[in-house]
Amino acid sequence: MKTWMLAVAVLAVAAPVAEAAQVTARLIYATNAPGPNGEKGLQSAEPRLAKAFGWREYQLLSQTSSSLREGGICQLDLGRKLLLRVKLLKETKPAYFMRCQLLRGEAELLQTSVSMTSGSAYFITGPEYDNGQLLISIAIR
Amino acid sequence: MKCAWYQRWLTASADDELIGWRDALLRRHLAGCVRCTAELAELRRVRELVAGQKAHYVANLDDQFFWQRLRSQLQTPPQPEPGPDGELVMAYSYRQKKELREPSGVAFWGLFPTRWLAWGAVVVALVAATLIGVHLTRAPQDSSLGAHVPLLPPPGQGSVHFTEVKSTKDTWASVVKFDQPDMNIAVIWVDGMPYMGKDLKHPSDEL
Repeated sequence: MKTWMLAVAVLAVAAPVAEAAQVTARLIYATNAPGPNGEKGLQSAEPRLAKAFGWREYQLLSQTSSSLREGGICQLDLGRKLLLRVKLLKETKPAYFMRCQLLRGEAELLQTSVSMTSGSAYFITGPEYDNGQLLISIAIR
Repeated sequence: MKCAWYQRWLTASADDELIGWRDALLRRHLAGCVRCTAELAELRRVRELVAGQKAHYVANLDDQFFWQRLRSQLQTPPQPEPGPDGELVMAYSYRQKKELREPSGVAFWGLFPTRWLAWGAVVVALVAATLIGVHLTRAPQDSSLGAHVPLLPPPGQGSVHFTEVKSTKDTWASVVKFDQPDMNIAVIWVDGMPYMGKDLKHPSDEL
């Protein structure tokens, strides 16, 4: 009996432990005008972002995550009709090979095939927006 | 099979020691089982007969000597407590302790009237645990996931390699990599995307 109970416990615990890749997409508004609410989320990254993109202020507009297994597809809705469709083509830890499509509504804006190590991220400079520009960040772990 | 399962409780029931769910289950079974009902009635009749017989304890020398010797050899408790029914009390006391020490496994099997039902419950538990595990691992989207992946990797860590960058005919995309020690950021620089509007506060608005 104890053996059976142990087997049930092991099954219940072990199954969810098998990790999936987690993809996070963010929509960032870069501008030179200070934000009205003083966004705190990106302040630690701002110096590095400023070096790369040149804007002074960075506001996080939205962020969304999804778990993915090899062969899996997810759609990350960034708001403002921007959608990121990610397919994890191959997973050879710590590297991930995936295809990302940036869509605006139904129209495809950009398609990327990229190999990334766990914890890394890349950016896409999006359209101009108000007095600044939208940036899309894709990170995986 | 069914009767055999309940018959182990008949003696305790006859002695009015069966309580709780076991008692309820046995009563339910007895309502539909003539054989067990008759057996229980017989056990109760025997108990009444025995109860009517007072134990006579004759304290002669031989008896005293026998019990003293037996007690000296049996060092382990429980010691029988003297009572009105003599040895019968000792038997009760032993069985009650045995009932209390019933292992948890037996208690589990006891929850089910038949072994088949118990095994069925184990199988259902296994399937449920597996399904829950699968559901958790496949948990899709989205912001309800706990922590997000950090926006930027620590300086000097993380590697991004683009194998294909395809833009639409109206835009022009190029890959830019900043590989300084304090800043490793990969960027796909896209020119030509249409201006998107002004209102940042209403994401659902028409852009």
